Amino acid sequence: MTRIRRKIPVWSITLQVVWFIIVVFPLYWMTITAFKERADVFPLPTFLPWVDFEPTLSAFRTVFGQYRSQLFNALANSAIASLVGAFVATFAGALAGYGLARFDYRQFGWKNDNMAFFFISQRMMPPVAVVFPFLLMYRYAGVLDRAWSLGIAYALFNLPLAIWITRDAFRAVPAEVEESGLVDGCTRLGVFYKISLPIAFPGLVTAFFVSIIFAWNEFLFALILTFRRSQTLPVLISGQANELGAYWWIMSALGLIGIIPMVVLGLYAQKWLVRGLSAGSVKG
Amino acid sequence: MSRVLFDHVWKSYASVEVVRDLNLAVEEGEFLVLVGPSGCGKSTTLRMLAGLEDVTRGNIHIGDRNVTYAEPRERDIAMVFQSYALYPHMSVEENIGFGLRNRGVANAEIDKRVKNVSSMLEIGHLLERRPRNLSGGQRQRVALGRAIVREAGVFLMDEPLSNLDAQLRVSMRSEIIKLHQRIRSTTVYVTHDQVEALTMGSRIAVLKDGRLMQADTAENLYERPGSVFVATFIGSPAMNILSGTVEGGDGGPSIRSRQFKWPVDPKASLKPGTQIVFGMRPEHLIVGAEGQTGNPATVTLIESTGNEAVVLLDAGGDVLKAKVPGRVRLTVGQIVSVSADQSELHFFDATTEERIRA
Repeated sequence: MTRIRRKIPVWSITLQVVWFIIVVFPLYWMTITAFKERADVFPLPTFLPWVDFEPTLSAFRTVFGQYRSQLFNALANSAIASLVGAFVATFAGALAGYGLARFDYRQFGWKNDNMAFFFISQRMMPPVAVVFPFLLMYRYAGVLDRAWSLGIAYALFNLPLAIWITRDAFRAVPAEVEESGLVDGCTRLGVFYKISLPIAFPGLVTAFFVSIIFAWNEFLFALILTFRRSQTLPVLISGQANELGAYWWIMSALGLIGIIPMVVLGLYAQKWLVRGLSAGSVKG
Repeated sequence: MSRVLFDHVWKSYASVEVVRDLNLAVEEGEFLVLVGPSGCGKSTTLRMLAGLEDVTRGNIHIGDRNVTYAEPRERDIAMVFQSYALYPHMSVEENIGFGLRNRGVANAEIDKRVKNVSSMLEIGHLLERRPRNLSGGQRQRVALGRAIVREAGVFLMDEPLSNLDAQLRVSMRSEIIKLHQRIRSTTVYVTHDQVEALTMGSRIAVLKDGRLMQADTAENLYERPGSVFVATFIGSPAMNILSGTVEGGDGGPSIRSRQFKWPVDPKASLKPGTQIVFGMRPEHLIVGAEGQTGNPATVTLIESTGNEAVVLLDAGGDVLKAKVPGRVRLTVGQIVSVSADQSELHFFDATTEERIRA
């Protein structure tokens, strides 16, 4: 295959540079701020370390010292809520997605596409609209301020996307491959576990990944449904801006720490996020 | 090895009848081919036998069991799909052994049988590979192997060769036949290709619009087609079909079609005055020089394949195809006389289009 060499026009490069700055600057700002001291944060900056200020680990010292128990508590809560949210959403979503992909439903005049749209429409609803009903329900059920129950709420929010993504993944599994499994001695459920699930696995990983990122970063539900015991990381971070002022360097250090698990997960999941596992199954 | 029986089987989707009152037995060890144009219900029939489609009415028996309501896994069948349907996440070895593993066959036994089958199909060196790293022909063999290894009572094949290129198709065709002669399993094979059907089937069932038209050996289908449909479907180029009226006369009986007279064998004992449809295969038409006995016709096209040629003739508005052996000394536009081998004429009822048994 020969590659076509093409000159990229100036306006396109300009646009890309502007976009790059918009995307990267906040991250950069957060990173350098995490290595500042209180006194260095406010003076007019050039944003360059060693020019504006001398980088220091003092924010991290505070975070791992004074904030230690709060930080680890928040990390643990975030992890529990995110994992519950992602696992439940992916598992239930896969079952629903498989059903929508493989069987023809007709319930109350609704067909598969109507149902799929109904599911995805749940995601269009503004979370603010339902957070107080959730608060009431959770209080009534006595499950407020628990990481796992927050995870259930996340699962509900993640489910529409998980269904949508897994439905697509299962659609890509050829029907004949499943039928072949039926003839080869599998039950319907056996076909699902032994054939469809492994083939659609990259889709499930995608659904899990999207779900866990959402849950890890979620703020509103975490703020309303948890208090002290089950505070998550985003709530802890935002708590650093209070009536005494904003502790930007602490927030930045916490933010950096909060990014790490998702980056690691992303690197690990990458090989699964590559599509095309089903290639070679059918046709010549 | 089991016998298969379709007993008054119907299949309909909503209001569309796909298979209508199918009665057909496949004997033990027989290689039966289901053939017909697309939409004739042949694939549906096979899928009903496999348990992948529900039967609307009637019963299907495999061996002495009524399997009409049995799950696919309970039917003791093995199937080769048109798309091969290999498991993409398993190696060739796992693909072939999958059915055995599901049935709880011991590992040592699975190993032995997989080795056997893969050496029989000459894919022993591919066992570690994934399907995506195989060529079309190799995938085809794996799909075959996966079916053979099961040693099931009935073998089902749904157009297994239609995704291969022409050359490979011909060689796989003879390999499948050889394979069948070796393992002698009851086989039901679906194709839309009449050449495949004729060369492979010990018996061929011709379907049209969900109805079984005729089930017979290749020779019988060819020599005694039961209907106009079978007559034109089997054989290439297709049989010439004309219609006309039976006439008596001093020179013996004949059929008048347009302005032409086609003399017929008196033994056919056709009643003078009846409307009739009759057919003659291209190879039974005799093309002679202008003025010889026969009807005058104009050569409109010559398709030569070297050892023989198909000549298109315009006989007073009817298009006739004649197969002429050897080198053709005809030119387009030439007037010839065309007649038919009287003993090779086929007669059909003008309204039912069914064969008139002589």
